[in-house]
Amino acid sequence: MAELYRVESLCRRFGGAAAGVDALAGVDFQIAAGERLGIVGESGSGKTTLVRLLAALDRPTSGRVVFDGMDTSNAPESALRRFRARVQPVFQDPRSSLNPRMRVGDIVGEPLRSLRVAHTSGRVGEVLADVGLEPEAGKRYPHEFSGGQRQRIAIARALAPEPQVLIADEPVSALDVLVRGQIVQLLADLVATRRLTLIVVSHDLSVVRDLCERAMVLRQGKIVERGPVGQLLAGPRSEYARSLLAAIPELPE
Amino acid sequence: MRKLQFYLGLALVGLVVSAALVSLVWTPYDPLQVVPADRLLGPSPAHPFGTDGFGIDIASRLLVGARYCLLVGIVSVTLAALVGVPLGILAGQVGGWVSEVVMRLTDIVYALPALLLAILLAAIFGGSTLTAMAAIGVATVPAFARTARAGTLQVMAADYVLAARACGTRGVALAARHIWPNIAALAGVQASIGFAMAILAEAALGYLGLGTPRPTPTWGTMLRDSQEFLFTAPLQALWPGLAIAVAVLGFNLLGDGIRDLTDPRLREAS
Repeated sequence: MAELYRVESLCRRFGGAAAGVDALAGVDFQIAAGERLGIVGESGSGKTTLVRLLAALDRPTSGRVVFDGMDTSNAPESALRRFRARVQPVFQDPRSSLNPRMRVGDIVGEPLRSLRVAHTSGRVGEVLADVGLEPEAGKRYPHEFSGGQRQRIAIARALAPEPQVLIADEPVSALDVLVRGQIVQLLADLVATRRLTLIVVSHDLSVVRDLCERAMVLRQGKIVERGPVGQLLAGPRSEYARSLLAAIPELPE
Repeated sequence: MRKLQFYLGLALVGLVVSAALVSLVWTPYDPLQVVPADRLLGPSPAHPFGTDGFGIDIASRLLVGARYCLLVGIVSVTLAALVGVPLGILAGQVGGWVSEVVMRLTDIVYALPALLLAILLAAIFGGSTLTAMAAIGVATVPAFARTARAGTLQVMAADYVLAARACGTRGVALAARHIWPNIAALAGVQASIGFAMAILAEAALGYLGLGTPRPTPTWGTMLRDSQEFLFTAPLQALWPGLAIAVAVLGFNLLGDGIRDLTDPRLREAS
């Protein structure tokens, strides 16, 4: 498979050079087109920082992120338009990732407008249907929807410009247990039908087990373990991965 | 209770607004016509608030004064908001040295009291409604800039701004679609409170003789004219003072009311 992402000795330091904290302390990996990669780690392991760097929403302190031959980590915003149409993030909490004062139709249509993606007039209604919402939902405001429906709206927004890569940062951890399964299923279906490259970040190994084929374990800004999900689940080599594994909650069937 | 505050503010502001509107079409007497025979009359059916030192009906002057009070408030607050809000959004959105420059500029204006500024302007251009509005407007800019910047910083930290950036939205579009709609209520509160401040400042300028010149009746000049009769006819000072208090209280209550009604934390609780 063709290499899509190449991450080279990526570092991100917050705070000053002397008293700062390394959220990411030298991370290297590649992602192939069509691959489904899980990034696992507890709070503070650097997952969210990594997501922001992969989505070019933050700049690394050193190292770089190369997407399809283009160094996105030092590119000016004006050069990132094509990249943004190809890589879309979904955030953790849809209560804060949707502007409360915008109609759902405008929210979902925003990437189309801002990235000037050529689209048909019915595009917003189509993506809303793709995530299981009525086209009429576009006329309403986010607060009129439940948590799970709001996350569907956020996913619809990410899908609107027909991206190649979906980066989901803890996509279900703000949702209640019964809704989680539905959103995970939706993501799995979308990835399969659209042949998306998926990057899922989670502290919950069960989400990664359901969505990904390969996983990396992040701890204190470093990759401590990586491999196929099955292998990671069956025989984690590091003590840390074992403790994460032990923390998988059993979902009620 | 919160609603009560809002409605009370609305009622008081409504009173001032209707007084100004009524004065445009009707006043009981000519508010400018001096009637020497009627000097300093007490309240009576013919003159419910009495007459002033020139024999002019106080009720008529109060009604017309409401017009100038609102005019100065509207113009100075609009001016301050039009300059202050975009500056504050810019400072909050861009950050860095831009934010520093904007904030230090507001510090400088803050350090200069509105009254001093007005005295300065009046000394250069002569006391008039226009100088009063300009001085109050300029002095109110920092309050709007700071409020807008604080609100913008809060909005910029929200995930929906991150999502908008991932959608390629930036610059003016980000400010127009995401920042402004989410800080508009905050700006509205600031406008209402700024209005109250402007009314007070206008009255103070009128009192000092630096605002709208005679014979135009403003509440500030009415207060000023009344002080020579403070011991012989104390009611002279009461009426304009009361009018100012009603207007200031009204706009303050309205501002607090808007804030409470639009505060999402309070809104979600109710």
